[in-house]
Amino acid sequence: MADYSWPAPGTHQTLGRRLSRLDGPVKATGAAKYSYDKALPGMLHGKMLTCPHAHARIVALDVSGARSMPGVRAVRVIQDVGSEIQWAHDEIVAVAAVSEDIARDALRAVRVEYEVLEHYVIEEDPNGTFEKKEPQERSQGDPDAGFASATTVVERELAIPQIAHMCLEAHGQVAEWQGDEVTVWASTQGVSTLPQQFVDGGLETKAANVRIRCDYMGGGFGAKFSPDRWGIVGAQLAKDAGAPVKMFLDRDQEVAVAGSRPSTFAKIRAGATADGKLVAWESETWGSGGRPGTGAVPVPYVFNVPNQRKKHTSVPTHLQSSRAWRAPNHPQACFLTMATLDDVAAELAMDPLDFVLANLELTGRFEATYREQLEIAAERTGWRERWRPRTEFDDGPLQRGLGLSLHTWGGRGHQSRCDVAVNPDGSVEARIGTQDLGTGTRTVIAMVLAETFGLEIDQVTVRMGDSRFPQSGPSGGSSTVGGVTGSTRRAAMDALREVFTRVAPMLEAEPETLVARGGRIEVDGDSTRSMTWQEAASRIGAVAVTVGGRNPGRGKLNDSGVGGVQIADVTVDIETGVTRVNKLLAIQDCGLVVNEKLAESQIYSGLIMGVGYALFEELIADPHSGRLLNADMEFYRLAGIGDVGTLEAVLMQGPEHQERGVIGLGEPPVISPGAALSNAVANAIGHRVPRLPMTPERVLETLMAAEAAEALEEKA
Amino acid sequence: MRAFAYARPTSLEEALDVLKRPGALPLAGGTDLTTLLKDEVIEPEMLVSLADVADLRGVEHRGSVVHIGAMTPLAELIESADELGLDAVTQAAREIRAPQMLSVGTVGGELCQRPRCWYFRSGFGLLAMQGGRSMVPEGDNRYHAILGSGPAYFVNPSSLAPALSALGARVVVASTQGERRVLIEDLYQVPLREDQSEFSLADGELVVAVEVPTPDGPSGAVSSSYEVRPRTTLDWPLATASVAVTTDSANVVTRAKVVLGHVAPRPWVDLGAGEALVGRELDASAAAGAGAAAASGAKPLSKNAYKVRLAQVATKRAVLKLAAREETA
Repeated sequence: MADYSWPAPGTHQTLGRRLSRLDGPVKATGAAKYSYDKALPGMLHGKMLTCPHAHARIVALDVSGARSMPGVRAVRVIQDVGSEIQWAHDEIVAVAAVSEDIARDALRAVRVEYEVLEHYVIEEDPNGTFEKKEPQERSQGDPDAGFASATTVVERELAIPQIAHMCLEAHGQVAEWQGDEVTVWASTQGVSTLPQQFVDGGLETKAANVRIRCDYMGGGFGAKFSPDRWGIVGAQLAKDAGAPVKMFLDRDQEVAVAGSRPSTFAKIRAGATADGKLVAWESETWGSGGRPGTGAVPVPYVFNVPNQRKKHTSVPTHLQSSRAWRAPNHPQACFLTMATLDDVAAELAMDPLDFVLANLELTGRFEATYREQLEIAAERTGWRERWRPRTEFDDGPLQRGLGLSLHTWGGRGHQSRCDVAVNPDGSVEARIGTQDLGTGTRTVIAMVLAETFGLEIDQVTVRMGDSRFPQSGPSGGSSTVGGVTGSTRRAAMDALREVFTRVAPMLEAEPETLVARGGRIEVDGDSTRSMTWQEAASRIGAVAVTVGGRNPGRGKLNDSGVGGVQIADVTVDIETGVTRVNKLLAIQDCGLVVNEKLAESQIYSGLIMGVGYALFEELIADPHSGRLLNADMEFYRLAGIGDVGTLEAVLMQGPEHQERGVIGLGEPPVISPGAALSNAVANAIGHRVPRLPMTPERVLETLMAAEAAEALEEKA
Repeated sequence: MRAFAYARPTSLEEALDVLKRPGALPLAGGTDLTTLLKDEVIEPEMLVSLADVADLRGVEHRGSVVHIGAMTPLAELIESADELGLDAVTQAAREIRAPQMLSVGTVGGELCQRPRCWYFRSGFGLLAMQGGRSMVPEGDNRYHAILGSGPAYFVNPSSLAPALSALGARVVVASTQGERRVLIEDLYQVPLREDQSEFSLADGELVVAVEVPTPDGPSGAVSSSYEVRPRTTLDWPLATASVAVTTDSANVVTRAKVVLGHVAPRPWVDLGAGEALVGRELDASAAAGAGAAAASGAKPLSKNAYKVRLAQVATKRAVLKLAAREETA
């Protein structure tokens, strides 16, 4: 049996290089066509009528006005009389018309009567919920004894709100039927898994008749794993109308129904001994991911405090059901934990770096990794020289602060299949049912082909984004790069062995002694016996060599489990409450780095999203109407390029990392920024801003509360 | 967006004539209007594009005033105001940041944009009344008014209005009946009922120009603006302050006008802050005094007490800019 591995460290031809992404130019010029850009002859435009109330029952529905409108080609009722609506913007009726304007006019002609029911959307007060859930309680060690042994106990109330995914390409698809078969150009994180989901979701056909395409995609972040109601109804309308239908969400719908991250509110106590050892943790948390509520986040995060008592209550609200948001639950847990630990360190008058180092044994498997990363991070930021206690300030309103945080993630490659073909003309092609979320998946697959066949990246072709290709898992949990590089490498190695077998006699060598390098096939150690790749390929016969590969499989090509350290450097204007990021530094391991530039790019994107939820992002619901007040890109603020400061990514590299194989990197970099930035702001202004995002109003409110407390103290 | 009729007149007379029609609205740069249309917050019968009315564009000296045509793009305004020493205006306009807004947006459009209040934009109306009560006091009012006595709690969205108001500018309003001039702050009114407008314009009236007293004239003032907003890039201000002062030969303030933005349904002429400056030398202490005096009588709502402080800080910093200017002069 053949074995599968990556080339030994130090012998890579393509892996690890700083290659620009293959689809960069077509994206930059607009030549790349996203699913949103798809325009087919005779295509109709789909639109959906949604409910303006957060909680209501449909008591009457009349779509005849829409049906009879000229230009309207199909109408479908999604939720009929009697349905109970659980959040605003839930879909009621869908129409397909010859233009967007007519589709909107048709929706206006639909008559719906609602019985408006009581709603609950502000989970800050969990007692207001309509559906009390039993709290989950867990404990370990002896919490009471732990707190009794602590000399310092810090109590905090912290919160992190619901935020949106805010994909720049909204959710949606174009569906076109040909006979019994439907092709759906979707914006999706799972081309291979969607066909069955369409059928499960009620589309009247067989999974084998559903073809999903997704060539380019404008963001998913965990929100695009399913066809969703609009996908099913869009395909149904296309069938009804006998014409392709484009159905993409408007921005307000996108924000209100197509993706949110659950909130967490927390009351936390943490205790440490005088020498800075964490001994006890107690937390009461609650939060909401909309109608289903939400489970507990893993606190205390990274640090396994010996004595713990935890209680979590899920709080259902009349808001959309949350979806996986880049590193589900980790950013919340990280913020709650690292902010509390940072405050314990401040209470102990310890440098938080020393405090973390003093407790590093509680981190388990990644203790050594964190120690090395903390050293690099401290060195790069000049932490030892520049850090100062919270009690020291600069003159004037601008205060600078440093904060740090640690995180962890898995990142094992998912199930993946890939076909690799070597054609007699020397062209090499991979076919794989995966998708490129914008992370560089296409480029990474090409690099594995180039590495394996000893070719340049422009000599290979990657075909992907099509459910007709060998199935690959959905892109979630940082599983894609490990999965697709595993299947591609195995297929490519087998294909190369087949080529070796066919050309070995011409080189008077055994196949096992051949290597592919620099566009040639040669006998290892004897470059006089060689031939060009082209020549070798021409000898394979009239038919391409095509081989399938899969992941997981034999040989160690990928791994799971990483640690990361981040440090934030901020300046806060204590008169205006405005926080500016000077620098965010990320030290990250991810095993074998396939493409250094793309890996760094992944980290930058995590840091930028991190600045977003740390400083700006928050879904704001109106208590009266139950509707979101900022389902737009105006008051739902995303970080702009001027807001993120200097971003610095350091990848842990070297033989010991390369030998682990490939590990996904999509999620870990987004976990720590909230905590690191919160700690930096606390360091700058001397007080904890208890809630993310740290908007000017929250910073000022924190400072005003502290002033009031001080004034009260002076009086007493 | 609903269907609407569209007119593109080439003269002001023609434009004013078309604007008399019921349901007709002027279209300038469209940066706000198109959003309102798409969100179906407004449903005009007709849009009257002013793009081809040449007389409405440009900045020029006319006697003792600087005449700014309503259709002057913001980018052009910045250039001219900078040359003419209208510093409060230049600084306020520069804070708008987005190149797209500055290129396409116009002076008249900026002054006549509708409030950004999220209740208004969600279709609940300017006063956000439900069951006879405003939704704002018990709702999410973090960006709402801290000054004024209701029932309107939205804030005036203009970045230019406070700066122009500090400089004593007037808008020229035209209709088929003729022209009139009103102080910038009086272009706005506080609606008391949902069917009232936040503008003091009569049907068929159009803002055609702004006239700013020339800074080098007898009443010449030095001026500045300061804005606080969350993001560095395009974003709505949380609070702004514009200050214009005249000083005597000893650098003592003889007249001062302080106008706050984004704190009330109208640009807020802050008499207290202005008075605090008169008789003072322009320095850090005067700035602190003006800041402390600003926004007096503010009645913050449940979530916007921080805005009182921001208004005060913005005032202080606007004066500090003037003090720094005096130092370097």
